[in-house]
Amino acid sequence: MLCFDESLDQFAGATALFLDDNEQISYSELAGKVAALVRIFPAEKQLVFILSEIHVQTIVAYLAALRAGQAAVLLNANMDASAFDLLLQQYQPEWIFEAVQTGHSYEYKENGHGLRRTHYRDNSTIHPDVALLLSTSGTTGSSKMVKLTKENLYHNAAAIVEYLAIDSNERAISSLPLHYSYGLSVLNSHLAAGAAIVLTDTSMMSRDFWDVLKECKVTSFAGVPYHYEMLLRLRFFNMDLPDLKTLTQAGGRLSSKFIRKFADHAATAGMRFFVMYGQTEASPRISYVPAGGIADNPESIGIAIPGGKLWLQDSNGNIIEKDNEEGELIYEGPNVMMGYATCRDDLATGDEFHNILPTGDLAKRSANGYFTISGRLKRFIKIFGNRVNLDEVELLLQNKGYDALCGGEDNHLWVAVTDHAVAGDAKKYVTSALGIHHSAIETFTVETFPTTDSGKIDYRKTFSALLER
Amino acid sequence: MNNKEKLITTFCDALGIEQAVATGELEYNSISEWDSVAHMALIAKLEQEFDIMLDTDDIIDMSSINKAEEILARYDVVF
Repeated sequence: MLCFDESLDQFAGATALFLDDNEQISYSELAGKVAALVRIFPAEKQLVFILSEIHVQTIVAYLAALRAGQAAVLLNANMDASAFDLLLQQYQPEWIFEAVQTGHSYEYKENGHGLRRTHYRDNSTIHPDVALLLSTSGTTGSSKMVKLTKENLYHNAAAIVEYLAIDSNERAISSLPLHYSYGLSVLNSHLAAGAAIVLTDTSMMSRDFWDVLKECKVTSFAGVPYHYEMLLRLRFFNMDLPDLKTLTQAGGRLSSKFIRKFADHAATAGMRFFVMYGQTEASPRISYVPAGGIADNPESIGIAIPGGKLWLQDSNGNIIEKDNEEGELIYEGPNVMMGYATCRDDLATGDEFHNILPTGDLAKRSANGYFTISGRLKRFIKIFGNRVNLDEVELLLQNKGYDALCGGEDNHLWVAVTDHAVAGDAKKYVTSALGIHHSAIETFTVETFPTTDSGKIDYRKTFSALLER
Repeated sequence: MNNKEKLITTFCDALGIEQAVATGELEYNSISEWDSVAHMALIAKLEQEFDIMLDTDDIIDMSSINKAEEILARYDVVF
C-alpha cells in the first residue's frame, strides 16, 4: 500500500513541488516541513480546519494532519465568512490552519501560514478511522461532509497511479483546488508515485498559467468540463506543448461532441485523454475510460478503477444482469467513505457503508462492459404524470447543438440557453422531441452557466430566479 | 454607437457589470464578475460583436479593457 503521507522520505531528492517563483521543494524538504508540524499536534485525535489554498503550506498542513493522526477538514480559504462561522459552531474544531492573521497567537508559523488553537475544548471524541472531511457540494452553503479514512485515500491514490500509469517523471499542474476531491486526488496520486506537482494559482485564461505550464514542463492536466471548454476557446489544439502527455477529465459530463474533439486531438498529438467518473463519497475516483476506448465510447464513464466493482440495481434492489438496461449505479471498493457528517457528534460514528456506495446515478452497461450514465435519481421531474429525466433532455438539446441546461419541477420544464436567439427553436424542439405541450416548457436566457467553485454546473444558481418565485 | 462604446457595452453585457465599473483600467480577476468563466464568455461575445477570431495569445493577454482595445485595433477595429 502506498501511504503517501508516510513515504515522502523514500523519494529523497526528487522534486515534489514546483512553486511559482521557480523554487522547487524536494521530497526530503517536504518531509522535513511536515515533520516539524506533526510535532505540534497532540497524541489524541482532534479536529483541524485547514483553510485551503494552492499553496505549499496547505499541502504541508494536510500531510501533517494525516501523519499525526488528526481529523482534517479542507475548506476553501475564500469561503463566505458566515458559512465558515456556521461550520465552526457545528464542528467545533480544536485547531485552525490558515494564512496568519493579526489578533491570533499561533503555535506554529511558517511562510505566512500558521496553526492555532480555537477556544473549543473537551469535545466529543472522534472515531479513530476518521482522517479527512470534504464537503459534498463544493459550494459554501452546505455543512454536509464526507468522512474519509486514510485507507480510503491510500487505496484511491494507488488505483489512480495504476490506471494512469503515473511514474516519478510525471508533473501535474494544480488546475483544481485542493479542497475539491478531484484536485486532492491529483495531489495524492502524484505524491504516492514520487511525481511532482506544479503549484500555481494563476488562471488558465491568463498568460502566467501557460508560461508556468511550459517552463515547468508539465506532463499532466486535470480539468472539469468547463476547463475543457476553455481549452477549446484557447485554441488548445494549435498550441505547441511537447511535454504535455496526459489529459484527465472528471467532475461532470463533458458533451460527447467535445469529447470526440479531444480524443481525436490526443490520438494525433500522441497524448492520452482519460474521461473519468467519481464522487467525493468514493475519495473520489470510481471509474475511468481506458485511453484507447474513448473514441468508440464518447458518452461512457468506462469501467471500475482497479480494486473496485460496478453494477446496476433496479428499484427493488435486484442486480440487473442484462445489457443496456437502466438501473442505479452501485460501486464497491476500499475507497468508499465511512459516511456523512453534519455536525461534531457525527464524527464519533464508525463505518456505515461497508465499502458499498449507491451513487444515486442511473446508468446502463453496454455489451463491452462499459457503463454510461443516463441520469441522476434526483434529476427527475414529472410532467403531466410522465417521468422526465432532466439530464436526458439536456443531452438531447446539446446533441442538437444547443448550449442548454434543464431544470424544473413537476409540470414545469425549464430550459436555460446562452443564446437568446435560439430560445424559441429550443422550446419547439423539446416540445416535438418529448411530445410535451409547450405550456409546460419555459425557456430563458442566461449570459453564462454559473459554476460552483469546483467548476461544476450550479443548477441551483442557474435556475434561482425560477426557484424563488 | 462607435467602436469604443460597442467595446464597453460588450464588456458590460458579458460580465454583467455597470457602465460605471467598465473603465479602461478594469483588470481581469480584479472583480468577481471577471473570472475565468466570464472571460470565456467575454471572448465569445467580442468575437461575435466585432466579427473577428482571436488568437490564443490575444485571449490570454486581454488583461484589461485598455488592453482589449489595443488588441482589437490589431484586428482592424478602428477606435
